[in-house]
Amino acid sequence: MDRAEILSRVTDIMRDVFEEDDLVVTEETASDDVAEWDSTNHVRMMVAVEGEFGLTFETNEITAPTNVGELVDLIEAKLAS
Amino acid sequence: MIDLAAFPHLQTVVAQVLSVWPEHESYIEARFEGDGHDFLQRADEFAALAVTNMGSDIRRYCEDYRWMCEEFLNEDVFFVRHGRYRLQTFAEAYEQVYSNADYMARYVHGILISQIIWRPHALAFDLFRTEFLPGIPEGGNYLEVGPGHGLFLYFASQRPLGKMEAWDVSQSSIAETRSALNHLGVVREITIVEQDVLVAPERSNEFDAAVISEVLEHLERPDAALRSLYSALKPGGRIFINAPINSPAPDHIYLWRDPEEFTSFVEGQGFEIESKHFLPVTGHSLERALRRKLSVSCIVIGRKPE
Repeated sequence: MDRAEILSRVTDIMRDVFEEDDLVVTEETASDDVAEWDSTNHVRMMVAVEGEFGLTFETNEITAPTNVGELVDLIEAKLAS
Repeated sequence: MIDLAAFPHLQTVVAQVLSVWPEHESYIEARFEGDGHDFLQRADEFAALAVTNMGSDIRRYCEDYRWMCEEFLNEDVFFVRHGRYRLQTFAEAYEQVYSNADYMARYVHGILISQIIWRPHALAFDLFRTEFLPGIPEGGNYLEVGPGHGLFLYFASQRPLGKMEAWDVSQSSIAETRSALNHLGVVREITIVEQDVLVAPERSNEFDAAVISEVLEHLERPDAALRSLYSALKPGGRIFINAPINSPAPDHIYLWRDPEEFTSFVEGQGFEIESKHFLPVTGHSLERALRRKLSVSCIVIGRKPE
């Protein structure tokens, strides 16, 4: 799975969790850029990512990503391991 | 950053929290957004008491608050993954939380700061002060279960009440409450006893007011706790109940999933509902919180029928 596809699927998850159908997501999109991206929604986004990609994150991995690029990096690394 | 210059004690606590947790700023911004002057004034009075209690240890309290929030985040991950609280029994909570004195001390510190920083906690306390306390008749008898940081007791003690009594299952928690009341200069008699509300000897028609805030979700049989308090109240006596739904925490075991389920539970123990308030987690509307199964504090003021 390439980064573009991961980003596309992550975008769908973010639009659902943050309830913003028109949310524009790039690898540079950070939590500070999205009003709804708080700690509560972050957990829900990460658990949705687990379900979407068939992964399980460690606790430190759940809290680590602060932007979408870091999240895509993490998903790539988990899929490769 | 929000300007709290007119509320110096809130400002002190917020500054300390941000000094140990700068990344918490956007949350704090959201928490104070739209708060009115009168509410902030009362919140500042609460913060003044907390600052007095914490004294020179305020930084440690704020560090413990950050630690507690991280513990809560771990519980939230479990809750979202599995749709239930991690712990199911009081015995598990006792083993993992209540019997660990160091953990409990940090937890209690974190909770005190959360009363100031978390909007539902601050609003719940405000409802206690503005809606519940003024309705207690002069000379009325007051009972509280789980007095914890002691600030509900403190504000109650400032009113012309009759007998005041509090029950707690933990000696260390009782010591914390007594210490807080001493720090705050409370001199009137308040009986604080080691007593489990679930096995309390029956008390009947004795109290005009009962308070049980953030206790029921820690119990396997919250129904038995409310029935005990129902018995202890006089006919017409009022009860202040505060319990969260969908609110994972290291020692929460009883899960209610929506406000109607909770109010039906209260009515099921015999109480008439005088008023109810549902306070969503900071940054979310009630509708969204319910749709997404986020934490909502349920404040119910009930009455034992005449």
